[in-house]
Amino acid sequence: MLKVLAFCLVVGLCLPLGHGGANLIASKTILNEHMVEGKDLTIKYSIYNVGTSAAVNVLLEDSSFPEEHFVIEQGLLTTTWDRIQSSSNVSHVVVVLPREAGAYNISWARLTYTSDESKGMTGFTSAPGPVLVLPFAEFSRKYEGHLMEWLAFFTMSAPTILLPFMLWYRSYSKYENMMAKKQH
Amino acid sequence: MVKLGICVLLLALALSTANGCTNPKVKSTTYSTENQYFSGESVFIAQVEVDCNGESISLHALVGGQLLPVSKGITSGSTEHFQVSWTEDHDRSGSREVKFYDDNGASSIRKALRYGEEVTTSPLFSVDIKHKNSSNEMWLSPAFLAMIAGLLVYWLAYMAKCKLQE
Repeated sequence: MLKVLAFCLVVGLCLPLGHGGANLIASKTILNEHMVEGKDLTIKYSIYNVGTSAAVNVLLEDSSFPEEHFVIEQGLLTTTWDRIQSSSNVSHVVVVLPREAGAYNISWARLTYTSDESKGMTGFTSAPGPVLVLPFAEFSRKYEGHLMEWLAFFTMSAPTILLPFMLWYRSYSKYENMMAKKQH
Repeated sequence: MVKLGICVLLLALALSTANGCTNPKVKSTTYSTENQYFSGESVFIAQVEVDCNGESISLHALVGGQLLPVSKGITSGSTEHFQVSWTEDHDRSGSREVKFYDDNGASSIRKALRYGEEVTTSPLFSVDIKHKNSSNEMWLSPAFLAMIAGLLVYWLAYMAKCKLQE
C-alpha cells in the first residue's frame, strides 16, 4: 500500500514537469476525394497549440511536393507564424497540381517553434501516406457525366428508330385522311 | 523632469511610427475551390506580396467578422510574402472580402470585437476572393435522362401498337 502511494506521488510530481510550455500538434490532410493528373490537389494543415503557453516563431516546412512532380497552384509550402496562442489553432491550405499520374507517397511536414524560456521544439504533422493520382482519361471514364457519349449514342441510334417511324407515320396519316374523307 | 518628458514623448513617437506602413505596394493572387469534386470543403486562399519600403511588418486579416492569423513566407529582397487561408462548407457562392491590418489595427479590432462594437478601423489594404459554388456533376445525370427518353419512346410505340390492334 505504501509502495503504491509512493509511486503515485512520484508520477504526480513528474507529470506537470514534462507538460509545461507550448506544444503544437498538427494534421496534414488531403481534401480531395479523387486525385487526378493536372487537376487541383488541396492540402490542409491544421496546427493546434495544446500547451500552456504561446508558441513563438512557428515555421512550417513541407518538402513532400518536389518541383519535378508537382506545380504549386496557390499557397506557401514554407511559411511562418509570429505566435500561436495556447489553446488556439491555425489552418493553412496549399493547392498543387500533380504533373503526371502515378503513385506518390505524401509524407509529413516539419514544424519548428520556440516554446517559453527559448526552448526550441520540433514537431511533425501527420502524413496522408501513399496516394494514387489517376490519369485524366481514366477519371473521366469512371466518374464524369458522359453527356457527349449519350448524345453521340442517340444520334447514331436515331436512324434505326426514326426511319421505321417515318414510314409508319406516312402510311398512318394517309389512312387517317382516307377514313376522314370516307366519313364525310 | 522636462527632459524625461521629452524623452518619453520621442520614444512614444518612435515606437508608434516603427511599425507603421502608410503606403505599401501590394500584389495579390487569390484562389477558391471551383470544382467541388476535387475538394471536400470550399477553400479560400489569398496570397499577397507587400513592399513596405524594406520595412518588415506583421499582418492580420479580418474575414467575415473574424480575425485570422496571416502567415509569412520567405522574404525576397524588400518584398514580403503573406498568405491567409481558411476552409468553409460547400454552401455560399459570392466573393469574400479579406481586409489586412497591421499590429496596431489588429489590437483595436480585437478590442472592438471583444466589446461587440462595430469595427471602424480602416485596413491597410483589402483583397476580394471571388467564389462560384459549382459541382462537376450535372443536376440530372445524362444516364438517367437517357433512361427516361428510352422509356418514353417505348411507351409511345406501345400505345400506337395497342391502338392498331383495337
